[in-house]
This record gives sequence, C-alpha cells and structure tokens, in this order.
Amino acid sequence: MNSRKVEDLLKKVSPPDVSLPSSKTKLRRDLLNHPRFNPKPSWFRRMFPRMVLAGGPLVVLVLVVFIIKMIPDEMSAHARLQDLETTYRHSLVKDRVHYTKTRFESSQEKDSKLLLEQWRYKNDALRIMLQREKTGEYISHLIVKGERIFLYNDQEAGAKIRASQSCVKTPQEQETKTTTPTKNQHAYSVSITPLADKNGKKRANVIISRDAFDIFGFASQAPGDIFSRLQADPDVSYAGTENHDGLVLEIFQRKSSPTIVSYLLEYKGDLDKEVKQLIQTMKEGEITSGRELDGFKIQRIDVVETLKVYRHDGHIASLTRRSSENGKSIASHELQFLVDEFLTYSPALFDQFAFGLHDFEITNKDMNK
Amino acid sequence: MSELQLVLKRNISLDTTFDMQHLEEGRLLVEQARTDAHAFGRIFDRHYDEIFKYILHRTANTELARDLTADTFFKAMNKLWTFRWQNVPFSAWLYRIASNEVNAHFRKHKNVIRVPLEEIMENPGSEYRELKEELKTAQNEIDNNHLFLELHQAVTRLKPRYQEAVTLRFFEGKSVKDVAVILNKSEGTVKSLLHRALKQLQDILDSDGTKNNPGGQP
Repeated sequence: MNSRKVEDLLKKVSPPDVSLPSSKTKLRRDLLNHPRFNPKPSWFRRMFPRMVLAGGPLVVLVLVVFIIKMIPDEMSAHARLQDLETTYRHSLVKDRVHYTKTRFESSQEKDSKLLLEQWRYKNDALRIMLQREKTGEYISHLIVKGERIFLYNDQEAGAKIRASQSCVKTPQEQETKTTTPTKNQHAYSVSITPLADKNGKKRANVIISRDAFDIFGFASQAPGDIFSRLQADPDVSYAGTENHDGLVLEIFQRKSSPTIVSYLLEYKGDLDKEVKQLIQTMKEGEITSGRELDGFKIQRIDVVETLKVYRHDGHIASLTRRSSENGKSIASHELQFLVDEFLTYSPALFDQFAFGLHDFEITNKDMNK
Repeated sequence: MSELQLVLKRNISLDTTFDMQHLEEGRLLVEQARTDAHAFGRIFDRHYDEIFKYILHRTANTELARDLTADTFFKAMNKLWTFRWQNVPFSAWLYRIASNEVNAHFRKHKNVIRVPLEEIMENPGSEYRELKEELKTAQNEIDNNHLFLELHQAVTRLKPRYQEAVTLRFFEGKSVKDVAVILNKSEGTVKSLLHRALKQLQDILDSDGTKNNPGGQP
C-alpha cells in the first residue's frame, strides 16, 4: 500500500458521529454551578483600619473650598499640594471600589508602554492588573485579600508586583504613615535603570531617595500615596500652571536635593555588585562627583520629579521622574492617570477563581522585604 | 512587527473558515465568560460537540472521550484568564487543551493504545442508567464502524503530533489552514507532518496486513 492509498482510505472512512446529550447536559450543569461562577460570600478574618485616603472633617473641606478660590500666587507649594489633595479627597466615595487606570512609560523600554489597572476596596481588597498597551498582552494579575495573595500563573511577572506599595495591612502590621522626612541616611532606597552603552562603557542611572522605586513600584502608586510623599518632602516647589484641553494643571517639582539624588554610573563588571559598592562607599564617606573608584566612575546628575494636578478636581494628570546629563534626558519614568473613578462594589471584582489566579503562599510581611 | 506581518509569517490567510466577524464576537464572549456563567455556557454550547468528537476520534472510546471532554472544559474554565486573544479562534485553544488531555492520558495509560479491538468493543458503560445506556448506544455505533476502528488503531501508534494532524485533517475534516491554526504551526509544517504521518501509517498497515495474512498480498 502506498501513502496515496492510505490517504484515500482516510478520506473514505466515515468517523463515528455519535453524541451524548445527557452527559453533555450534566457537564454543562456541573460547569455552570462551579464555585468559580458562584462564589461564597467572602469571610474576612480581620477588619482593617481606614486607609490614608479617608476624608477629613467637614470644616476643613469648607475652608479648603474657600482657600482654593482665593489661592494667591505667593501660596507655598506645600499649601497648594495640600489644597489639591483635600479637593481630591472630597471626590472620594466611601463604600465603593476605587478604580484607577494608569499608563506607565519608561525610557528603558521605549515601545513598551504599560497599562496598570487597580481596584481598591477600603482596606479589604486590592486587585492589580498589568498589560502591555501595544499588544494587549497581560503581564501580571494580582489580588490581595487579607493575608492571602493570588497571582496570575506567570511567576516572574507576579513576583515583581509589590503589593506592599499599597499594601492591605492587618491591624498588627499597620503603622502610622510617616509624614516627616527621616534624618537617618540609611533609610534611603535605590532605584537602578540600566542605560545604553556609550563609548564602549556600561552605564546605569542610580537614584537614591527616600522613595526610590523599581518600575512596578513607581507604576503602581496611588494618587493618595503621591500626594502624601511629596507633601512630606521639604524640597518640593511650585512650578506654575499649564493649560491642557482648556483645563488648568498645577505643576509641582522636586529637584536634586538631599532627599533625592541621581548618579550616572559607568562600570565594567556586574551592575548589582557595582551599585552595592557605590552604596557602601557612600556610607563610608561623601561621594565626589566624577570620582573613579575601583573600576567604576560616578557622576552626579540632575533629577527632576514633576507632578501635574488638575486644579478643578485635584485629580493627578501625570507624574514624571527624569534624570538628565548636561541638560539631555537619559532616563525617565512617566505615569499618566487615565481613569480615576468609583465603582459599585461586587465580590466578582476580587474573585480569584473567576480570574484563574492561584494562591501564592507568602504573607504581606514577606512581600515587604 | 505589524499585525499583517505576523499573519503572513504564520502563513495564515484571512480566508480560512474562521471569519473576522466571528472572531470579534468570539473575543467579546470569551471576555464575558471569565466572570459570567451564562457566557461560559454559550461557549460550551458552541464548542462541546466538536471537541467531544475530536477526542472520540482520538480515543475511539465513548466513556473515555466523555471524561476527557469534561476535563478539557474544566481546564478551559480554570485557565480562561490565561487565554490571550491573538486573532486566532477560541476553538483552536480548546483543541490544544483537548490534545494535551488526550496525550497525557495516553502517556499515563500506555497499554490503552495496545488494547485489542475485541476488548474495546466490550468496554463497560457508566453507573447511571441513562448515561450508561447512552454510552452503550454510542459505543455500539463506533464498534460497527470497522474501517474506522482499524484505521484508528493504526493512527494511535503514531507519535502524538502526527495523531493530532491526521485526526484533525481526515477525521474532523479540517482544512490544512485550519489544522495549522489549531496546532499553531505553519501550513508547510502541517503538510510535512501529514506527509510523514501517512508514510508511517503505510508501514503500519502494511505490517499489520503481513501479520494477518503472512505470505499473502498486502
């Protein structure tokens, strides 16, 4: 028999065309009655304290409305920020799910704008979804409920999401949010952005700040978090206004200062090792810009963090952090707030079964490491 | 790379049996089905029969096909969130899950492949009377299809990827283009798979013919 005859034989055969209607009906019933589509009411073992974004007293609100209408040009940046934050808080709705959608862009990956969606319900539940804007590909999906975390089945992406950035904390773990800058230099953190090689040398931008973020940390900031940390920084200045589609944006900037420093690092070996050495050298003494140390060279450069807020409702339009060498931008992160609204609460919004997320065996405490 | 370039690279043209409007409707339905039972029910209604048939043609056993089809849809329900829409029909994703379930079953129960025809014909039914009767009736229909059973026995001795290609092409009646979409391969690769599969089937059938009729004509 040749293969042609085999093909003819296969085309000639009539495969059985049977059906199992009863089995089909039973399976359909089993699937649709599955707990995935019929979640039990969630049972929370603990109640969580109110989030920082709780509204203030009515008197303050009335006063703020009055002040906003009377804002003189000489008002300080912090006062303006506080006014805007209070206006923003005025728009917060209790007992509803706070939904934000942001676009994040990094100079590191020019064609990879990310869309980050966050759903927050009081202190009870948090859900974060991350996808590439261009392709629509979902990178990560995370739900935090109490001490339990449920992740999308992509371990690498899931591990990068830091729920602690807007952590749902238990009463035992909840601490009063620090609003005054710490004088302890060891409390600073480091953000590293690899750059393109130049003249055959490896380079990276290193930002040392009280609130340095990795990409996901920066991208997942909530409006309230941004207001809080900038208000707490004494080096924030008011940079005027600009017009956007007929709406006024108030602009605030935080430039290179003791609370945020940017370096351009040229190195030969392993980046992590070089940065560790840099930090160690800093702890031991002051770093001199342009200095060469054990095979790596550091140069202090400019960094500017720019916040733009809509004057009429206090909603944040964008937050940008940019490091520049000789006036030219070499590394930047930009966060744009596309949607900031409130939804009616539904358990389905935080149902890990509905989204196929699996239980991630780690506590919030571990995620804060 | 633009979407068009991606399509050309995969050698899938737009004149397959999966038209674009149907694709868009399917995409919306899949998104709804992630949280809505009724939407998932519609997906089930649309695709159950073809998936069951495909698994039945791979296994020639109605009870096994019933169980593996159930596994396929439960797995699809649990993993629906991982499904990424890339202008490929949702059914292709289901077929891949179904193939994996069948292949995994064969790996775990290798002796099922070598069970003689006589034992397959006398496969017992399920516990429930109606389901049992239904299975029995369906199995009888398969048992009477001797040509299919003979070819099926030969096909199950091929490598899994050849079984998939042959079953989809000849038992399911899919075009080469549709088989390529389901298997996530180029049309050229599918043609090559089919060509090699047929050559191997030829050897198997010739060998079986010699065993059954030693010294006689193939």
